[in-house]
Parts: sequence; C-alpha cells; structure tokens
Amino acid sequence: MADDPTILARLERLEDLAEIERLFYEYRRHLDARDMYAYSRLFCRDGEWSGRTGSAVGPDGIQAMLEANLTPNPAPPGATSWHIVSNPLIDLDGDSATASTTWALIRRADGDEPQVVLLGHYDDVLAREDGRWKFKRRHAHVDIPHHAG
Amino acid sequence: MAESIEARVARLEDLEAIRALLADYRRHLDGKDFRAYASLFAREGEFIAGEDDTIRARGPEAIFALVDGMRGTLLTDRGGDDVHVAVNEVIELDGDRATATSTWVYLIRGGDDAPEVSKIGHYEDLLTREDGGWKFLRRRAPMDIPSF
Repeated sequence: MADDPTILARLERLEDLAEIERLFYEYRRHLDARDMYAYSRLFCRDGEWSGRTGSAVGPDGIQAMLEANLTPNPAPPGATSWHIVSNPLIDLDGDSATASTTWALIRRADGDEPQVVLLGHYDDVLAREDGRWKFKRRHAHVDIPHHAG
Repeated sequence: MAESIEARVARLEDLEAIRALLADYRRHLDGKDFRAYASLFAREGEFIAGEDDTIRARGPEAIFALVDGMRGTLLTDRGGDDVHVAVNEVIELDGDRATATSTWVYLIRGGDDAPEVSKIGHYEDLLTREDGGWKFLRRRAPMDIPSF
C-alpha cells in the first residue's frame, strides 16, 4: 500500500492543510505580539497584504507599512487586544491554495472588561515558496461595524 | 532520506489527537463533567491558574477537587450558563512530548439573558503521551482580561 503513489498524494494533501492552518495561527500570534518582522516573513517575496490599515507588497514593505500604521498593543493595564481566528476553509490546488477565515478583535475596555471591538474575515491566496506555505495575498475585511473597512 | 510515510502519518495523527484533547477539555469543563475533565491530565499532570499562579493542583484527583470547588464561583453552577471558546492553537510536537499555546474566551449568560464576554486568557500547555494517549502534563491558564 505504501508503494501506491496516490497514498503519497493523499498524505501530502493532509500535510498541506495542517501547515496552512498553522500559518493562520502563527500570523495571529505574531500580530498580537506585534512582532511584525516574524509576521511579515509569513508572506511570499511578492506577497500582498491589504485592509483597513493600508496595503503593501513583500515582507519588508508589509513590515514597514504595519509598523507605521498599526496601533500599538499596550501591555496591561492598557487597552491590550487579542485576535480570535476561526472557521478556516482551505481549497488546495497544487502549489497554490485559497482560503477564508473569520476573525474577531477583543480589547480590554474601560473597567478592565473584555469588549468585542471588530468582527471580520480574511480572504487569502496562498502559495508554496521555498518548500513552505506562505501568504501570496491576504485581504482583511472588517464586517462589523460595517462602515469601518 | 525523506521521512517515512509511517512517520508522516503518525505526525498528523498526533496533531489531531492533541486537537481532540484541547476540544475535550472544553467539552467536559462546560459539561460540568469534572471527572472526565480531570482524566485528561497525566498522573503527574498539573493545572495552574490565578493571579501569580496561585491556583494549582497536581494529579487527576486533586484537579477534580479543585475544579469541582469552582462551581458557583469561578464557573457557573449550572451547565449551559457558561461556555469556553478555545481557539488559535499552535502545537509543537517533539516525540512523546509536545507544547501548545491557545487562546480561551469565557462567555456567560449575562444580564437580560444575553451572552456576555466575561473573560479572556490563554493556555500554555506541556503535553505527554501516557498509556498510548496524549494528556496534559502541565496546563497554565493565565487570565488576560480582566487583569485580576
């Protein structure tokens, strides 16, 4: 059975799905830590990020744009925020893929209480580059409030 | 020499088993089945929470007693009045051990019977393979909002 080439293809498909899902959560982790260097390395050399905060191309460009535009994430007792990333849907197509996820932003509000500030979703195009899955294009939509993005 | 098919399948199975462990934790906690909850910890497994890690217990029996005592205080008395949403998991496998980080959101039935985001925090886990299955060797559950 292990000699059957279709087994390898099926295994690779599952590995690709697991790696892409992990990419979404690494993105979230670096974003909330405001480690924009590590965050930007999750993009292809010609990868694009666009959203309410701006748009940029390539890891260095994305890092510079977000460091300039993104609000800081202050430590407690500041208005610390966390992204919640969920509902991944991934369509594989060889060395590229498309995906969508939903996200929520929860922030420490006045009175040290959690407040859901934004709800949105990501639309992604992914590509395998140097053997790793990366973002080719990520667009961050804001859905609530509807006038925000 | 490339990694064997068997090793690659085992890796995916381990990831899936650990995801199931994280989901079972949430399910038993919110289902108030604290015996099943405690059984997810290794014999030497530790649960750590609270300000400055002051809430702790080691071993399934002590963890059962600790969490059962949270009913009506840190957890609602009645099932269905609270729910943990566990997300953002990143898992690192290392043979028979693994580490994981994830985010938890605690929702409760608030005023006017409306859902309310009550707390948010994160998990820092050390996992181990014991008796053929994955268990928590240590789970830290620090709260991030409110900041105690």
